[in-house]
Amino acid sequence: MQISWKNVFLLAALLFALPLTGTPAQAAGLFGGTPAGDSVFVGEVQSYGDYELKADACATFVDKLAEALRQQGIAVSGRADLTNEEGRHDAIGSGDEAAELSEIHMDAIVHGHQFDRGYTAAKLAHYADLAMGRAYFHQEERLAAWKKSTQVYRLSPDKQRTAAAIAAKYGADYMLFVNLKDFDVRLKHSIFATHTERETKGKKLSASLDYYLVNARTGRVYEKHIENKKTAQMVNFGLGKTGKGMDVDTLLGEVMETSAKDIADDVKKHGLDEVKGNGTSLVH
Amino acid sequence: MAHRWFIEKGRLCLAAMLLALTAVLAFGSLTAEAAKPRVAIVGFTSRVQKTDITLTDLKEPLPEILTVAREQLTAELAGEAKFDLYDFGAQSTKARCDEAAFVEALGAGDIVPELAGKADYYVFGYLTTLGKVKAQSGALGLSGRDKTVHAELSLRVMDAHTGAIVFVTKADSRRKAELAYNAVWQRHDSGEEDAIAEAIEDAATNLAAQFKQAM
Repeated sequence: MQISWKNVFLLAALLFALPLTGTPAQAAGLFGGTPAGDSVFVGEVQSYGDYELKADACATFVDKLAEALRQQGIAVSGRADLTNEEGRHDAIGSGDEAAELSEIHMDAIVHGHQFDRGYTAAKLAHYADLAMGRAYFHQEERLAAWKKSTQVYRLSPDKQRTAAAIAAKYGADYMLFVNLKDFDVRLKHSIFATHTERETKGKKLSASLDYYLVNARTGRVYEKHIENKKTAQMVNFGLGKTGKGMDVDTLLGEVMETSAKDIADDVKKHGLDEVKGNGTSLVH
Repeated sequence: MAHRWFIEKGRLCLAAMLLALTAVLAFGSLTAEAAKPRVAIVGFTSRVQKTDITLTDLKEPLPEILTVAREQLTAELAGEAKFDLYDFGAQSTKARCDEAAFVEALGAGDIVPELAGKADYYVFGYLTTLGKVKAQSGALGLSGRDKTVHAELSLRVMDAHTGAIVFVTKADSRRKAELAYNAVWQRHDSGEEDAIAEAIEDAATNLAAQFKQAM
């Protein structure tokens, strides 16, 4: 059998062309085709207020928030522990990624305009003293002026570096942190309200939260305070009856839904533009 | 003469090797075309807590509700051309729903053994709300009252290779459970269990639609 070098080279050319015409295996990448718009990495959704919200409520809130952001054309990603429950309870300085995310969140809070050291969780108060020093919180005039401001500010330099490294690892440009600092349920006591076993006498639920959008590359932080209230009450007065009642979970779900939509709207309308800029920002 | 013989044998050997390599790559290419991402529905867990403050008084047993949600989601995602669906058996779902253990293992860079190699994406479902909204109005025997079941589910998709959450969504549904009008006539409808099941099915269908839309 005679095989010329020409035929051997033709065969080789065919061989090398094959991978170009074949379809490579795409075992992963089902969700790789995210919208061309902005992408946000959820760093932590936790309560650093006086009273902690249950972990399940934080998890549900982050699901609602992700959906609301998606409706705005913003892709959302995060670690497996999306609310960072583990990091919330880690000691400061323990060094793993969960603890680092918690510290970036706390750094954004204590540098922010809304921070009030008197109404915070113990871990946050401790971090505030470490990061800012106790004397900082006695400069009342300076703090009052800062509270009135809405300026974008920056993370501490070391937290900025940490944020950049974590964001790079997950391929994100922006990080989002939410402090569900005050969710308050009050049972109304009205003499006209129904007295059923479950409905009690009507309910009122208020939610107060702050969110922090961080440009991972520059460390610029945009902060926004969101507040919402909902009530549910069934009333019987004499022969008349009116109103609606629901259990607290449903009421909480409605308040969280509204708050999540408010965050997503604000991120889209203001937050992303604010942290994208390269203007002078305060290091507070 | 011997020199020519060696050159000729060399050509033959090279051609045979290239042919074999071509066959291997061609077969690999065909199987690669057939390989699709594998999606596993790990199961549904509940975040609804029955405590003094939540006041949830629905009687439907929770495991049955979760089964309805999982089966509906599985049915909606089965047969999708873009991925292969791997569904854990109903009996073993509960054990595999332990998200905390799964997340902890991923945090340490591991996949829990029973999930390892099963899929490229893991889908975790959650029952986030199950409650009744009651409305009433009227006076002097001319009154109306209704009870509406409100169910909400959410879903998270985890990339099994990186441990990152790549997609999150939620869906809800409201179904009338009871209607009662007291005027010239009275009407009473009681169908709480049916309303719950229908609301859960609707929500799961919507979750599946959003999942497919996001791909």
